[in-house]
Amino acid sequence: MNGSPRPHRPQQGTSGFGDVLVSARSLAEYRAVFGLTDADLAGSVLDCPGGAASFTAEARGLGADVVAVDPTYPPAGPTAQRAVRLRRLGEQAAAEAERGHDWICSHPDGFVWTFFATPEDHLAQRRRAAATFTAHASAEPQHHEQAALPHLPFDDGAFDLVLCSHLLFTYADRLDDAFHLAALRELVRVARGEVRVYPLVVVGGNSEHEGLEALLEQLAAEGVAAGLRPTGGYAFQRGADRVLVLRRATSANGNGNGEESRADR
Amino acid sequence: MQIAEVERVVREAAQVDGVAPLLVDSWRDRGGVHLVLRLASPGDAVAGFRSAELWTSGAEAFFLDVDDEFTLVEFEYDEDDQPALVHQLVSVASEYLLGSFREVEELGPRGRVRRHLVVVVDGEEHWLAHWPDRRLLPALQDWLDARVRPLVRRRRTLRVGHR
Repeated sequence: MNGSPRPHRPQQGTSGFGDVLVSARSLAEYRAVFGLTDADLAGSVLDCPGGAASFTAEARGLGADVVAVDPTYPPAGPTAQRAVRLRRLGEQAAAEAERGHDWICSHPDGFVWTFFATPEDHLAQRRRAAATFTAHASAEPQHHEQAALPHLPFDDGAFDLVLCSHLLFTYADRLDDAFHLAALRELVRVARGEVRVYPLVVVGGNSEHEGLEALLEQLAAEGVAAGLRPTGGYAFQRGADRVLVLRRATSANGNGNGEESRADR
Repeated sequence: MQIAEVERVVREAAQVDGVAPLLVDSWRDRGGVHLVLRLASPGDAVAGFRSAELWTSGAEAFFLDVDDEFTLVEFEYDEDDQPALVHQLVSVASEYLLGSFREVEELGPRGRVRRHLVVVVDGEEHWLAHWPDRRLLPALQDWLDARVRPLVRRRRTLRVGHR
């Protein structure tokens, strides 16, 4: 620490959005966003960053092998301490939902009301997810590890599927492309199969990140195949209707899921 | 907390009984405050080379960096409880600077070795995680700044309204 360069400080965000740090999303929302199938959930899954999503709780309840990581989770240590902190995080996420609701109500044109029927439905779903997260994470904190991109404490190919929701590209106004590249490399490193990233639109924006093409070109040069796939029927933020799918080019599965390759766009 | 208040609390905590007297150097950066802590009277040469840095914008996240990229990130959502957290972090820093810590390496279920420093204060363990790439931490702070400060302003407005 002492004598080393100061941490890089990205530019302050300009989106004007409410800067929601931990949001609570459900398994149903993850299914709709990422087009998750039961087959996807039959393998090991990493949710990075997990925030206060109830995805891990609900999917594990169905027998899935899911681990969530997030920088806001408590570090390793006594289980009881970790449980208390995870519970407080969940409670904070419930409070966040209220603030997100206020922002959404003041910017209704920025959203598509299909997955969520109304702002009130959105709030109710967030509250439910936060409550589920709180109960599960405080009871089983071992499935929630503290970690942050672009460095994950897992072996190469540790997970069959890696999901990245509402971090990369969402905060592109304050995390630069070098960070994004390092983060995407790390997600690919720990994935045995696909990496799915959503959304590709900065928070408060309505078009995909302009640096996306260059990032994917760089990854392609490193042997990472990229495609863009429609969400599994999910729509909420305008312009956020595609999922970035990455996999090592040597993956045995190939690109057979109907997504556009970079060249198709 | 206002960052001036953070500075005041840290300097106060650095001199209280039970904490090794500490030297505190501070600097401000983009709305936050960084407080570098060192032993006022290092008992040996090795301890004298250690340092710890507490940094925050006064929003709900408080970071304690020590040498070799270990960091403790603590969140306190209740503003009234934040001074106690700052005191606690100074105590953790003091124990670290005195060399009263142990390094733990764990092999997780899927992976690589996780490294932590464990510091015990008043019987409670504090685990400082190894953060080899710290770029997300300032971003985390930025999010909190933008998120929490409007809420603090709103709370103060409400308090005024009650008077």
